[in-house]
Amino acid sequence: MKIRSLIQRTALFLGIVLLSVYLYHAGKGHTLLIDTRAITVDGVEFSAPDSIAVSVNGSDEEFMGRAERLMVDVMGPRHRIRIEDLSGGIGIVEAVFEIPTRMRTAIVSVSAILGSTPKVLWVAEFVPPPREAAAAEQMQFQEPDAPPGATSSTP
Amino acid sequence: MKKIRLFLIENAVVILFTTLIAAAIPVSGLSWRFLAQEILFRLGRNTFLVVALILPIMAGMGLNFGMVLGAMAGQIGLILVTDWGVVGLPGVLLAMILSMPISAILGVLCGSIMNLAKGREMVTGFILAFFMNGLYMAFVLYAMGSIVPVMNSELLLSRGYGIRNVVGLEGVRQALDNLIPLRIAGLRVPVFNYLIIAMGCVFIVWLRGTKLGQDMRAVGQDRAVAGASGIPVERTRLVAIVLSTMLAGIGQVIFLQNLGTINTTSSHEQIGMFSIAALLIGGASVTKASIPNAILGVILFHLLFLVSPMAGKNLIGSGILGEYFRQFVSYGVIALALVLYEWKRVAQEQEEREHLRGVAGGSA
Repeated sequence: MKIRSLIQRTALFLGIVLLSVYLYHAGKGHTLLIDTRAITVDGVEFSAPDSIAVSVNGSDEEFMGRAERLMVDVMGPRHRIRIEDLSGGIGIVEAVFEIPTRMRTAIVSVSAILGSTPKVLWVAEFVPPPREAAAAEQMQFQEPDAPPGATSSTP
Repeated sequence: MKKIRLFLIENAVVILFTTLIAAAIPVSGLSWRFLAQEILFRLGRNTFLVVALILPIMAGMGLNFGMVLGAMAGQIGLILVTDWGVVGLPGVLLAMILSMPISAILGVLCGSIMNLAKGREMVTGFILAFFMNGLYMAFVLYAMGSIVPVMNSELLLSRGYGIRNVVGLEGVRQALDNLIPLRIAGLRVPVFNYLIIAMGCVFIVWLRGTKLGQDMRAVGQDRAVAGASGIPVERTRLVAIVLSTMLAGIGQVIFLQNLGTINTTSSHEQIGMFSIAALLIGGASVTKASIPNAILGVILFHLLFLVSPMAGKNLIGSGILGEYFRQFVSYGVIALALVLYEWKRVAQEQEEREHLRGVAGGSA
């Protein structure tokens, strides 16, 4: 194989690999949980207004109260959020934040954004609570002769 | 008179199916608007798969039943993309890219075996697809989740490994179809699909003009003469099958993103048969196929698909008979095309023999 041809093929291969990496990064889907719960940073509590309208990446506005979560599916790492304080205190705030590619589900704190805290506090990974065994699964491990409700020590 | 007879023989399949559809449309009672919308969608969904069949025909390898291998590669690409959570247009493009090396490897395997079975490529490809289906099943139902890591537990079977029978493609569903929204007279047109199909067609037209394309045509016309003139026959045939398999992989991604769901164990199985039937209904033969054949074939084949159940229901009172009829048609048209091809070949040979006898008689 000629050197020129080898270089061309290697360049093509690398180009395709780089394009794949870019597509993975740009097309990675995330689930955002827009969260209006209060957060405490260095002893200072930041809370969201009583009533807000939220829009992510220009989508339709959704209305939220305090201590609520709104689920939004997005694509790619960079997103724009628009928060309108319906109680009239802050007005409209627009902010841009980034989601790490590895993060499937992220909690986006409205309180942190409105409180002008450092950007690292805006987004946190959502860790689902430990899953309790469903009733059917509990029954699966029940001893055949055991009274109802008793479960085996070894699953 | 001879010209008309020749025209009728050459276009027997197209004429037969056009007549059949023309008779079935009024009986079906389906509206023109419904049929037009469905055909617009189905044209965008299926044409790329049918176009993928043209190159092996050009290289004299007949109808590539081995395209199922490319479809398997496309499905693996889509499963991986779904597992990684890549969505939208990047997800579809990434699935296409991922399918390419897999379909290239499968294409090399398929082409190498077909080179060992020259003259019997179609039946070889048909059986090879069954064999590869076993390997595909082993990969998808056993290796994925155990050897190949799968992060999304929703894709896995309850035993912890193996992909579920149905994979939802919510992330990439109609990502290509809806990319350029266009409505003409109230009908939705999947413009981006048509652009990709146009790119596939331009690629084939461009390839025909290249040295490789000329070699393919020469090999397709006569292997012995092509070999004697220095064309690497086996390599050219191999390249034709590899390209066809890779195009089939891309075609399957386009097809499935439109449907929005993968039937892991069976989505690829019928695609070879249906694509080949569509190409043949469009007027192609085992030795000759063109892009217009592919487009016309998709239109006629899918019109028949749409109208036959309703026509069956209205005529006989049972929609299932129409369903059986369209299954029968897809297999029957392949048989009909093969019979016509063989009949024409025998007739041509006989004509040549008679011509030679005549020449010999005249000179004696």
